[in-house]
Amino acid sequence: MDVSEYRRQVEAEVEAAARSEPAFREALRNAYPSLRTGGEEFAAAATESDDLSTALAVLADSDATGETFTAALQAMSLEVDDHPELIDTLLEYLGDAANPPDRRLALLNLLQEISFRMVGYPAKRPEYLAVLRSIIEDSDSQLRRVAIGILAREKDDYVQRRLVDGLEGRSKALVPAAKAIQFLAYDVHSEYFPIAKRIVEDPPNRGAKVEAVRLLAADPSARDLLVRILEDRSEKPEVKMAAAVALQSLDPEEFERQARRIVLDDDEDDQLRALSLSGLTYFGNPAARNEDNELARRVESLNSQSRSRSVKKAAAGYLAKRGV
Amino acid sequence: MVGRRSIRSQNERRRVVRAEITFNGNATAASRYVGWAPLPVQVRLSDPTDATGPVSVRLRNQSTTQGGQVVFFSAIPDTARDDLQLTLPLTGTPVQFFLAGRFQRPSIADRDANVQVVNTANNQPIGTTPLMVRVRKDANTLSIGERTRLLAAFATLNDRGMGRFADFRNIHTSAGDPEAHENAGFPPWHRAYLLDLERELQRIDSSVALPYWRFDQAAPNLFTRDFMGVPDPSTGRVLFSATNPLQFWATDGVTGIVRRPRFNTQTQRATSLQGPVITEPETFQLGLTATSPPVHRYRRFRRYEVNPHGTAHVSFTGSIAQIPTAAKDPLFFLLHANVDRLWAKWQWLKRRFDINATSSFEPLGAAGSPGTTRVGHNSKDTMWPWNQVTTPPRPSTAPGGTMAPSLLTAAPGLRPTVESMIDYQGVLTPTSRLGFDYDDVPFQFPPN
Repeated sequence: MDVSEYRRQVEAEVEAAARSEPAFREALRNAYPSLRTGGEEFAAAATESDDLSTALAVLADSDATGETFTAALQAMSLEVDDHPELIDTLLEYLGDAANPPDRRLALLNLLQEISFRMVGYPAKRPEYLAVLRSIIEDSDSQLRRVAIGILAREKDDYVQRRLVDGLEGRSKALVPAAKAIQFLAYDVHSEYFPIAKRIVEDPPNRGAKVEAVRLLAADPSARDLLVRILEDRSEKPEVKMAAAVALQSLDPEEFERQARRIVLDDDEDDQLRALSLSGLTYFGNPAARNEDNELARRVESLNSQSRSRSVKKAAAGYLAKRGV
Repeated sequence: MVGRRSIRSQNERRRVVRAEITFNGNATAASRYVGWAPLPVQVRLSDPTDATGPVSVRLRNQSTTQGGQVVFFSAIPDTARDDLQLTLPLTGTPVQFFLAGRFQRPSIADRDANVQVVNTANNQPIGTTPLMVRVRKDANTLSIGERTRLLAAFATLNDRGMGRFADFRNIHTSAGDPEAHENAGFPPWHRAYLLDLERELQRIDSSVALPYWRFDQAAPNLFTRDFMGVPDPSTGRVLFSATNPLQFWATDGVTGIVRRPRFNTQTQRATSLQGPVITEPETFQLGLTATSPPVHRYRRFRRYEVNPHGTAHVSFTGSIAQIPTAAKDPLFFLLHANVDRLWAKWQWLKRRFDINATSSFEPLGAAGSPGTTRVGHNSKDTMWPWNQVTTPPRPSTAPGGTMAPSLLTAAPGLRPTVESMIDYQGVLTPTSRLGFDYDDVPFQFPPN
């Protein structure tokens, strides 16, 4: 298409958007017609001001429908830049356990969005984190989990301590073990490694075991444990795959030895073999790859005879990299 | 035997006039990449043995149906042409012209475009130069080959969290937050950040361009196990196919990625709990002022930092939903490529490339001057970490060093300023061209 014609097409699309109001504005107007005074220009200041006053009214109205509440949050997301005082209102609503959990959760999501600009409001940040800490034991599990996740990503000492206490059984767990380990992994401390090893040896469920194995990629002393998992014929493929990835991160040379063994072993799981072969393809020692004729012959055979699509694909990738 | 020698001799005589093309003064194959913005290119007679005077040549696409396509300019500004007539001196002195990809005809593989030099005297080709029309594309539309090369380059750059990618992960943290967010510098800082990353990916595989996640549309081909992965239902851990090199992704010593969408990635645009990201046309409308008549200004447009940018981030749970951890997830870079594309498209649509106009960027000047804001967010300020400044109020470390250089352009230099990110195509100042383009944002000279 000619560029000038393309420009006309894009301009027409933008003009069409300018003529139609955003859905949230229509929802607010329908819910609170008496509060509306502005015109219909999408970007007109009077209309945006109306949006904000209506949105605040929605927040105070416990009878507002879910759709209207969502529309109010959308309006506020566009207005917070010009009205940072909105953050105080939002924090107050979030911290009030009497408000409906689903609305507090949606509002927390808006605060997360705003947090991408929180550097502009440094005084609000400690308050934001304090409100989050106050709700990590909220009765609503979803709200609790989101708040804990935010704090964990902020490397918050308090929430880290609470998560460890939960895993150690010193207090009631805030979240399931798998999530707790995942959250702690945002800021790895050596004190977590014994906990992860204990979970690997005696897991409450497979998800927690996988997360613990992943965390141990950061623990130099976990090498032998990861090798043992990989060599354990009774271990689930999902756990072995996590161990292979962790070992590749921790000790690439040992990973290459294990990956080679797995590729050559017809009794190993196909997905694990495909993963191992991919690891050798992308991260293996090129000299070793080019000299290892025994492995190359096996990979050629897998490429032509394996029934697994993943194995065939991984084999083709390996051979291409080797220049076969 | 005599007959054979005679035939070979005739063939050789046909070939003794040869021409070669160099890109931006560089003869290496690694320089043969163009986008939509015209690139200075030189052609010369490399072997004029049989020529008796200047040689008249025509430059054209070798094939008009296959591979990436290019257009020619004798000078800039000029009208793009399908072919170009030039006269090459016998001395071998290069003749300059300008080359660009034909809009909406990018390459899908390295060197799938070919510029042919034809001797107009006998209509014989005397040189062919393979190249790539390399632009940033919608990730949802990538070919399998494009996707595979991208993922391999990303995985290599990361190298189990120990590679050069670690610098990019360490730049976008709480410490760097004031440099990158909540002010005028948000769009230019992230443009520089992506450019630096893309150039590093291209050192690994020069055919790679950073794709964008068009978050206001469904992207079923992006959120698959073979590409950016799908979440484990119980833990939010991203699952990849066994052959996806992102299986081995590791950051901060821990393997894997945690990301769970709050929307249906197969059918919906990005949607957080307070609703969907605004559409592309709605994003452009953010630039309008409340004045009468309304005009498009940068200081209004940059409100897009909240919605769609922030909304797209928080349409997931997991590391991408928060500044300190967002860059742990490779999807972050595809999300931000789209944020940058929106700015680029708004710039093209409203012709906002003038680094001295407040409609293109505001505040103008350097920090400390009247009307300016905090350092790093004014047009004349240098940007951290590429400026390597580690004294307050800048962060105390500057990971990654200076900006990665490019064979295609000298811009933006090792220590880019905010304003060096504005005329990224060289629309007003050709030397400011940064060497990237988006598939749906064309290059246009300013109107007369």
